[in-house]
Order: sequence, then structure tokens, then C-alpha cells
Amino acid sequence: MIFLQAAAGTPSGFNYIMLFGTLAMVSLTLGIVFFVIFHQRKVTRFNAELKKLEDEKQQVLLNASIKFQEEERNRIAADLHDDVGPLLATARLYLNENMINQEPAAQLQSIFSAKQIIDDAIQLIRNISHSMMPPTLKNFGLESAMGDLFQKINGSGTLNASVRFHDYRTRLKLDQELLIFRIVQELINNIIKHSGAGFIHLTQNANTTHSYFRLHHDGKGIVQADFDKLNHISTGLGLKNIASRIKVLNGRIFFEIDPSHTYYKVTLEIPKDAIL
Amino acid sequence: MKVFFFYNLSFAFFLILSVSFGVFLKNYPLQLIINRIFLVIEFSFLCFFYYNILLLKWRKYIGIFCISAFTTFSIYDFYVTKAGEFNFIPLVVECMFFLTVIVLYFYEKIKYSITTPIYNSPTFWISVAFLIYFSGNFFLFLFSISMFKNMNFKMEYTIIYGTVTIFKNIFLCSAIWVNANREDEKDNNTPIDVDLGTFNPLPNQNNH
Repeated sequence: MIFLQAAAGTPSGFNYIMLFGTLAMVSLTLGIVFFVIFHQRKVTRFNAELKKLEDEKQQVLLNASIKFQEEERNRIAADLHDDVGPLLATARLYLNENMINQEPAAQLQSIFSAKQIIDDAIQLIRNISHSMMPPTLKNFGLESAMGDLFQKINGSGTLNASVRFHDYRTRLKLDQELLIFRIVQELINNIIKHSGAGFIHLTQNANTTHSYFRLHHDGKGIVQADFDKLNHISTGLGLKNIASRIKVLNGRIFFEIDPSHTYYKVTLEIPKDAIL
Repeated sequence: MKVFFFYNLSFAFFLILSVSFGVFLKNYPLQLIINRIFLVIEFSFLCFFYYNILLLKWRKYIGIFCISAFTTFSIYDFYVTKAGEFNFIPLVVECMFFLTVIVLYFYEKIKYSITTPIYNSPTFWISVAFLIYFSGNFFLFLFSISMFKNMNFKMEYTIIYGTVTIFKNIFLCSAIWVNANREDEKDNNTPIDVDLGTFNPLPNQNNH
């Protein structure tokens, strides 16, 4: 009130206190407005850049997925053309029209050879089919398929591989299982090719919402930063396929090194109710 | 924008009424009543406007409470004030209240509006207009409580109030212009500081 009375004491002069007060308030207001505009603009730019990066990443993953599909088709085409094709052609040679003019013993021999070749062709087609969808996975689930896979690796004698499922009473959907199987296959393939590991161990566990798969190995591995970097710059398809499959599963993947630096671990976190 | 449209409509209506009673009919007591009614209506409209655009959870209760409290206070103040005088205290209260609300609105915009530039939104320009109006007139209304009878002060009052009102109207026009030109605004209201939690997938698990 003293402030107001002091201001009121100048009846004829201009009220400078009020004028400066008003100017100060308006300046403060404009300051707030400019701060809000510039700060928000900075945030929106940052978000736009983030979105752009995310879009680019999506594009890379999509390209990788398409390229992978094409490679897979080429591989199947090559298998059919190079392996099954010649086998069937040879079988046809044995079963030609001149066979009627041959001795019965020679005829029998030709039929036997043709039968052998057709059996080989059946086996080859079966192998191609199995490489697309492992029958164990389809019929008995992920646990058995992983068991088979690790048994085969163990059978080579160069690597000690073991697997343990702690809580897999309820099977995931077949599509989910296949994707997880492919991811683990790719990871193991990388470990065998690049890490020089002596052992690989797979552990599975679950809680109410997620299933977890963790691979341990004692070779030369990568950590999360390496994975992100390689996933962006690498020309190879393996890691990009892992990333795109993880995205389809709506899951997460973590590459870590044990605090003791004795082994590396790769953990997959897969939601149980992922919509595919 | 609908709230803003009706606010302007009521503003024009009450302005015509007030000028008619004050200047042409020289009925000052009725003009004071009209001014007071407009003050309450203006407060309610602005409250409703910010009720629609703020994201605060309990904004509904704040709005209802503030409108009721301000109306009660205005009626009380009208009966307490001497006949033929206009008390500026409700205007000062209105200024302080909306300065706080508009700063809160800006805070929410900074926090939640992370994809669309804020100046593409008409509500932003309406807020800027009222922020300038209320901050520019705050000291004026505060001094008017004790000095409004002073003729020099009345002149200063007219200059400052007129200038601030012109700026307010310019910004309100900007709001209309932005609204006419803007594309469909889709605000992403996801907070920036999303907590993704810590990673501990197999807490009670022996890994070997």
C-alpha cells in the first residue's frame, strides 16, 4: 500500500512506477513466450530426427527381410536344380525305352539303380523341406527342436553344447517358436563362425508375461553397442534378420558380457501374447 | 475455437450494451452491473476454454470451483463497493488467476507437445494474446484500485489499456489466421521422460 500511495503522490506527473511495472510484466511475458517457442521447436526437431532415424532403420530391416527371402528362394531353387534335377534325370536314363530290349538281370539292375536314385531324391526334398520348417519343431515344440539342434552341434565334437528349459509347460504359438528357433540358429551360427567358443549353453525361463532365452558362450562375443553398430552399418544379413524377427515378435534382445569377463550372454525377451 | 467464438460474441454484445447505457443513456449504475456481469461471463468463458485444452487431471473440479468462487466473490464485491464506483479487485484476481493458468498451459505444451510446432496451434496464439492482455493490465488494474479518480491516471489508463488491447486483438487475429491455415494437427501426447524400467530378466535364476 505504501508503494501505491507513493505512486499516487504525483498527481500531475506520469506514473512511471506503473509504466515500468507494466513494461516489466510485458517483457517477462514475451520472454516466456519466446522461451516456450524455441524450446518446443528444439524438442520437435529432435523428435523429427529421431523419427527419421527410426524410419531409415525400418527401411534397412525391410530391405534385409526382402533380400533374405530372395536368398532363401535362390537357395531352394539351386538345391532343386543342382541336386534333385540331375538325380531325377539320371533315374530317367535308367528307365529309358531300351530297357525292354535288355536282359532281365540288367533290367532288374536298372530298376534297382533308379529306385536308389529316387530314394536319394526323396531324401533331398525332405532335407530341403526340413530346413524350411523343422519337423521336430512342428510336432514336438521348441524345447525338442532346440534339443535336436544342440545335440547335432555336440555331435560334431568341436563344441560342447547344452540346453535347459526351466519353464516351458505351455508352448508358444508355432509362428513364435519358429522365429525364436531361427534367431537362436542364427546366433549359434555366428558364435560358431566368429567367436571360437568352447561351449554354448541355452537357458530358458519365463514369468507370467514373458519368455526368456539366454545363450552363454565363452568365445569372443559382442555387447549391445556392437550389435546396434553392426546392425546399422554391416552389409551382412544375419544381424538384420535377427533384429527384424525380434521386431516381429515384439521382443527385445540384449548382448552382454559377464562381469567376470569369462563369457558372453545373449538374452531374448519375448512377450507371450505377441500378435503375429 | 467455438468457445473463443462465443466469448467474442458475448464481448461484442456486452460492449454495445455498456456503451449504450454509459455514453448514450447516461445510466451509470446499470452500466456497472453490465460490466460486472461481463466480467463473470468472461471469466467463465476463459475457464471453460482452458478446461478444454489443459491436460491436468483435476481441471474439471478446478474449473467448477473457480467459476463458482469467482462469481460469489464478484457478487459480494458488487454489494460491498460504494454505489456508482467500479472496484478493480476482481479484475486483479482474474489477472492473477489466468496468468497462472496460461503459464501452466505453456508448461504442458513444452512437456507433451513434442511433434507439432506450438505456433501452429490457434490455442497458443489465443493464450499469448491473453497473457499479454493480463500481464500488461495487471499493474494498471492494481493501481486503479486507489487512483482511478485521478484524471491524469485515467488518461494513462486509456493509453496503456488501449495499447495492450490492440496487441491482444492482433494476436487473436493471428489465432484465427493460424486456425484457417493449419493442417490437421495431431499432437503426440506421449511424455518425453518415459520410464522403461530396469532390465532384470532372470532374477532368481542360476545361469549355469
